Amino acid sequence: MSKYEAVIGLEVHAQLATASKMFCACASNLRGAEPNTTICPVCTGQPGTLPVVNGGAVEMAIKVGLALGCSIQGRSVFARKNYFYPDLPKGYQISQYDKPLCHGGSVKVRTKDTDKEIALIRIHLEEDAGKLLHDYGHPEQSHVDFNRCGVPLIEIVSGPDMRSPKEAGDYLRTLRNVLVYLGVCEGNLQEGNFRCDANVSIRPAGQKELGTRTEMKNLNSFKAVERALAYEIERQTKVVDGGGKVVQETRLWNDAAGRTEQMRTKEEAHDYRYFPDPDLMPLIVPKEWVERVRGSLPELAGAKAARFVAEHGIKEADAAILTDDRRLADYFERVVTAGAPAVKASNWIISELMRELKDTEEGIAACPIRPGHLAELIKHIEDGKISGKMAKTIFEKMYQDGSDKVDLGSFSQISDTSEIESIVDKVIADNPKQLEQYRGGKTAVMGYFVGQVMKATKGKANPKIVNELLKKKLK
Amino acid sequence: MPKDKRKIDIGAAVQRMAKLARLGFDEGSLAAIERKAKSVIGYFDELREVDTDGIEPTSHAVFVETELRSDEVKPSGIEGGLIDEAPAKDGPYVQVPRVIEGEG
Amino acid sequence: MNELCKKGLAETSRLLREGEFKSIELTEVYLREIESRDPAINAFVTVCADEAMAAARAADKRLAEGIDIAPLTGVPLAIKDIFVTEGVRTTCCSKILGDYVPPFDGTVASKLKAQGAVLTGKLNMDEFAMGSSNEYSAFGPVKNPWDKERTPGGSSGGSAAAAAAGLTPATLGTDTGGSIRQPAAFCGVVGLKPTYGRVSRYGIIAFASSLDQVGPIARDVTDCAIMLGAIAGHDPRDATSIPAPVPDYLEALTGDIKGRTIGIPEEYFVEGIDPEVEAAVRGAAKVLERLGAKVKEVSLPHTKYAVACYYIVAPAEASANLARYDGIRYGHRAKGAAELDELFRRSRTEGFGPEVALRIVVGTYVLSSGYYDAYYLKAQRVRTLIRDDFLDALGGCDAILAPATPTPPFALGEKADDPIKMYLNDIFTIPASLAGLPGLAMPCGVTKSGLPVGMQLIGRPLDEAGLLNIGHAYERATEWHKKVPLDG
Repeated sequence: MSKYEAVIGLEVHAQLATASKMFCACASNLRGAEPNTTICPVCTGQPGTLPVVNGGAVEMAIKVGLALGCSIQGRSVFARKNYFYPDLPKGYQISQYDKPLCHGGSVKVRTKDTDKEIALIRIHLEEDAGKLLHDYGHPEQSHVDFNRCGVPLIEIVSGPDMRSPKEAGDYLRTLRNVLVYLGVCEGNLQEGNFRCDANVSIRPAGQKELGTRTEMKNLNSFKAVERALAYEIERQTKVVDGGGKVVQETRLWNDAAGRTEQMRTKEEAHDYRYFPDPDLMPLIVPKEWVERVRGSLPELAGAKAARFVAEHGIKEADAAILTDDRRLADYFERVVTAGAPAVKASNWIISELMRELKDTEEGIAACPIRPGHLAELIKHIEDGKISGKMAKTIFEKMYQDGSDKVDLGSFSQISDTSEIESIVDKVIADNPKQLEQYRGGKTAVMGYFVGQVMKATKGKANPKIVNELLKKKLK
Repeated sequence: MPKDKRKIDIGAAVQRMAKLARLGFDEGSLAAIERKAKSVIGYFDELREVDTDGIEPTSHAVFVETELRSDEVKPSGIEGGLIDEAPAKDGPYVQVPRVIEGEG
Repeated sequence: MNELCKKGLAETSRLLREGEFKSIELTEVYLREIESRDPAINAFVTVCADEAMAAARAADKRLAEGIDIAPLTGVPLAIKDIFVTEGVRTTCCSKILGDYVPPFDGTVASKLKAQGAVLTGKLNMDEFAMGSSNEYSAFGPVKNPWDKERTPGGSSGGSAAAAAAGLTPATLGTDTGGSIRQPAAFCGVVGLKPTYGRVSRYGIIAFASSLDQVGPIARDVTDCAIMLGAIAGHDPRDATSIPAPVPDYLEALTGDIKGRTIGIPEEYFVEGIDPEVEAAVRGAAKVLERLGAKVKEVSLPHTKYAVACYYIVAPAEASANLARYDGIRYGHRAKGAAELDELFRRSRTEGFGPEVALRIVVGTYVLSSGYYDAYYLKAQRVRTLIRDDFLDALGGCDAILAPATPTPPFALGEKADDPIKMYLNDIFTIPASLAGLPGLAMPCGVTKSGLPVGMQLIGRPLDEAGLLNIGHAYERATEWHKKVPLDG
């Protein structure tokens, strides 16, 4: 494999979280909408209708461009991309071709495995198409839902900078997080509001020219992207090693079978006949608008992590984890604001909370414990009311039950020093042999004494006080 | 390129264009359309005489600085009426012959 | 013919407001006239009698109460079948929309409705506005009321013929390369193509988006001014519509053109123009001089490239605009198609006429990979030169006077099979379309064989008022606009 180098470029289509569609006033948020209910004459391409640009979508695109360091064009042009398909009412998609809204920029990927700046080529605005459904009960028919026609999209095109499926996956995760951070996209691959097409080719290590590439479309999870790329790189390697030539084509990823497949229909070379859309004037974005948007950009992950280290005194690695998801970072800050010490809050979230969230798709949004309650729980530990171990149990119960308050139940910790002291004294008195072993240098025997005190108090003694007292008295 | 060869190329191009535009022609009408297309496209040669070096193309005869639409939802109110127009429906959907793979 | 139908828009409107007659009576009269006289002309594609009567009743109520009266309140009007009208079949004279009944109104239709106009029907046209003779209609050709063997022009042939024959007091058409001005000239009536962007295009079925414009056709300039005032103005649903305020066009009709400068472009009077047309237009120049205008020669050097330029740009835009007619969501869908491409291909082939198919093929060609630069981009550059020619010339004169057409109305069938021959009909109207400038066509003569000749005045951007005033002054000094054979 190291004989060849993989070259990967990614095109991401992200749905912008605007209220209305790109070129008409229909609702753009389709969650829960019945089929063909968020439509109008414009987005269904009725005769005589015309598009009008949604300024909110443009503003979101400018936000993304600025966050990724792109150059925002003061004048960009909408173009028609012409082809026939049932989910494309006008018979053309309004997109941007040779004069897109943003040029250049980059995505700084900094994860456990990847530390690389991936260059972007461009970002442009366009409209989404409708949906075709194939399993509505007729084997000979397909069904069209136009709700999604006209939903605003940005297309983000990377340079061919990635060299491994992991890099590609990390790029996507980072990019997705930026968009979610900006509040411009929900970033949910399964729901289809963040889609990825991948281009991959291989070339002999050290060669400058790119090999022939294949394209894979609409992979619907980050893992699928990584697996599809890994498969395709291997497939291309086998082809070339076998003396063959890679064919430039679009391949479908068959997730169940774990392989890419040729498309059954022969792909004609597409001639989209792009030309500037005469129904839309060039999009003028004055510098004042760009500066206004720049001033309104939220704190992005990198800056937030640095601030957490500086202001809250937590470790860099932990800050990176917390700020990976903006909502998680917000949750953390609310726990701190509610009075919990920052480092403790951070530890709790990273260990206990994230363990619970590990297998959910929605992440922190699925957590039923309010930040204020987690803070309360942490404070109880600090006050000595309960031990850390007790708190973990209470926490798990709260998470399962989705309970609305912190109920310590029967948990209470003995933190009365004199009470513990009398038990410690009794335990020491009852175990002269171990006392002699400890005084003889076997310091590990401390654990035995701790265990005995805990047994005697049914686990309720405050472990910190127990340790302190034992240390003092065992000397 | 000699004019005759260009005319032959236009003939082949007409068939390609018809395919791109989803138009079908039977033998008779194909001949007519090829003849007419050749005549029309040949006429375009006139423009070769014009020196357009350094001239900007006009996409819009009149430049208007359009006000962008504010991001507000306004339902059309005629969603049902729009689907009623469809030649073939099934429930809330417009029906088409089975589609195998995506255009994308 | 009923005397009421001989009255123009201004007079009809006044008499309705004065209570001389009710809208319902007038509407009934028009409907009967249409029924008895239209078969010989074939200007009407759809007559909506029930809707008309309901609208007339509502208008009468308004007129009686005296509230909210507009110039068009209660006036029975028919308009080109390119305007999307809610609940009334809109076909663009194509089989592909043969049964299409829109569930919404376009902006122009809304405006007419809001003012209480009474829609009597939709008028015949060349299919998808592509034509200069109204012979390319799925509903049969329209006959010129002056001579039924001849074409009324196109694509707004039905509109011009209906106005000329007194089947509507005034009407609306659309003009992309001359489709209002040329039929107006061929039918001896007045037709105005406003500045591009002056009237909303939302709700006119698109042919060539950067050229299409809505405009009035009527038997005199005053009526055109009234119609323009009723429909002009910015529309937020049309991103190309101009936000400029709409002047009072009637107020602008002072009839005084002393000191105005009129430019005569030498390139418009070259070989190929019918001598009687040339004589009539030069005669009009003399009248304008007598009325106090100064006449001078101007040059529009790139005129001869306009037709080629237009027939690249317009079909290119049309090829994309007509892609929505795919049989999926409305309109004609071919029966029994087993798979998708067959459905697209057969629906469109069955639905479109040969001229439309030709222009789609040509338009697709000039946009296609490898040809875009040499054709489409080149044409757009030539377009800039043509527009600059006009703006230079109009820097030194208030309006340009030219013929509207190279010949008087030709015979039906004469040019239908030779596209270039047909396209050259538009040689005088196309340039102003490419430049987006307003153009007013009006009668300025009658040939020895009794056929109308029209002249054209081309003005500065948004100077419709100026053009209409020159036309009004000319009309007051001449009788050509009265020669229309009202009873067809």
